[in-house]
Amino acid sequence: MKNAYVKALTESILAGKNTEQTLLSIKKQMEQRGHLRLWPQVLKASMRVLQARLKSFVPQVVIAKEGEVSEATLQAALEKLGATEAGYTKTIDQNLVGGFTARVKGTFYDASYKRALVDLYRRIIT
Amino acid sequence: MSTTIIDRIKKEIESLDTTTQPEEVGVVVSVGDGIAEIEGLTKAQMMEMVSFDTGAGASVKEVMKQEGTLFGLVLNLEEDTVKVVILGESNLVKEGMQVSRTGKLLSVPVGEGIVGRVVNTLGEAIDGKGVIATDKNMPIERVAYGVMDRSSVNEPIHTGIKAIDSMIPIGRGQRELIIGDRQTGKTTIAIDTIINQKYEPKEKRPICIYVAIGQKRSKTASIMAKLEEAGALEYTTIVATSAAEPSPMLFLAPFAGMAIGEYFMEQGRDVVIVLDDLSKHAVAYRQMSLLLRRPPGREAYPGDIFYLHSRLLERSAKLSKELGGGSITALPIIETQEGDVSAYIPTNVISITDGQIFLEGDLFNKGIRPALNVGISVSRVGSSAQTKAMKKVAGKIRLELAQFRELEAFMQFASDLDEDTKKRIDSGRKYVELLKQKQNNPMPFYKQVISIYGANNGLFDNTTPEKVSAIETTFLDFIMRDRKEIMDAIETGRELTDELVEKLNKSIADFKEANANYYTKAE
Repeated sequence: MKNAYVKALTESILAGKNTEQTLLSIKKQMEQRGHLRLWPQVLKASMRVLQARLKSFVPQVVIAKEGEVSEATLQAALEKLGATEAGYTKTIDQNLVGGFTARVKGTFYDASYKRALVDLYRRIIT
Repeated sequence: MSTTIIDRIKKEIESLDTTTQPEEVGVVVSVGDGIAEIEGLTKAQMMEMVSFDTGAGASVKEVMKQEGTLFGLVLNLEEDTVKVVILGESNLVKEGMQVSRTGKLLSVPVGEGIVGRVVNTLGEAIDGKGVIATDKNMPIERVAYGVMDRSSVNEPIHTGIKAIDSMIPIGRGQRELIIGDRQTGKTTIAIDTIINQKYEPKEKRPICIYVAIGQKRSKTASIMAKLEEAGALEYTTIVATSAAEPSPMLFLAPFAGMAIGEYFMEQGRDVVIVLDDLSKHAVAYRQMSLLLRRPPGREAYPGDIFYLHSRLLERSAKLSKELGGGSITALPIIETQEGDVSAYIPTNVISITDGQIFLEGDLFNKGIRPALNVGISVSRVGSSAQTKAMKKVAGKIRLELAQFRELEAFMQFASDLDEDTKKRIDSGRKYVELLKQKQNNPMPFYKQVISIYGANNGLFDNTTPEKVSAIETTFLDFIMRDRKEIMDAIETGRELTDELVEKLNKSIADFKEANANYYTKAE
């Protein structure tokens, strides 16, 4: 039951409906059906879903070291992945060793040295 | 480090292609009981393999320490998510973990090197004999060959068990169910069949595949030892899954076995596949389906349990000459509870297969082994594949046993019975004794023909049922030693010519004369 309310709430908000009105209307529905006890859980789960969705809308780039990959390379990779907006979030993960990874919505591009090294290792040992 | 290894590494580094392609990814939203729910992966296909990114946030060294890639199998395509069964350690999967599509349907690597090896569901060696050299990947799920691609079953597969080869013959490409309660000798029949293939000429010898579904590891190990001891492992592949493995591995094991079989069948070779057992397979599928939240039906099995077994067993076939004439003979095993063959899974599999070998606990306990109930065991297509020699001798045995079964109940009134009835009961008891066989001791078909011919033609007259076994052994030794040409002629010609019949009759008479000590009554 909780999942149904979460789905209804998140889909309505993502479809562009007025957030305040949607929240009120779903809360009212739940009250009428005697499901108000689920309200905190529904809110929490909806927040998580919305955050994940919004995060996936914004292109994400992970690099090993600041300044190691040129802006042009990153932009080219993001374009290849179909990013329409210029902005992206950038994080640093030294475990990548070098190179970068980029993710736009459901598409992922891994140009890190870490992947290349692991691939090489697996090819040698098998 | 030797220079060869250094050269190899240098070569790998030089040929290393660091370019990658964008891949479709999703995120794990929930995980539990070996099932992961993944958001994203909108283009995923049913039965596609996905890989879990277990190395995210870990250093290169830590990733290298991990045991290969953790794969999952897409089994439910839902509106916003896909449900995936995890093919490995599910505790490595965490909420929020990235999952990538591989674009490959689940397949198993195959090649000549797989024969004589023990592999898991994914085709990886588990016998400690190193990596298997393979040359192809065969999809685990595949549509069975159509009507026009097949030919009728016309060649026998000898089990080495007299009762089966004479009365319930199995043909190459047939699906013969072995059904019975626990501890009635189901696996023994299957193993004997595998062992018996060593008597087949090398060019006609089938590749054997034994699929252990959720069996105890000790049982699989003992089967492997038995096959190795009998010299049968060299043409056998064991696909082993133990009860401790996750249910998806058990569910996929017979499909993997069938995929290995298809590889050889397509090369025009014959294959025997033992599925031990489909009851455990159904239970594994039920568990997986319930976890995938598929609606339960009768006995909580999902609605497509019949389709699951029918599409598996339908892949067993005898291909037409144009396609090489290869075959897969399937010997699925079903374990019944208290002899109840009318339960859901047994009735399903009985209706799918081309006959069944029914084993009974009562017979087993009486010492009649194999504990075959010849009354309700049938082979629907095998008789057309029986050798002419066996066909000629087997007709009488069935009739004699049928008459014996009818009269068996009167055995306790032995003194009040007329002579004819007594004779029939005596003859029936001798046939029952003749059909008894020791475990892992299959008999080549030419010896079976001689034994049964002897029984039909007075070899056991004027003796007691207790002496049947000894007489049979001595008679076969006598033929082997003094009249080997008879045995050779039956083995190669597979027919009982008038000349051979004459020689056999003479041999019986000579044997009886030379071994009068077995025959206590006056002729």
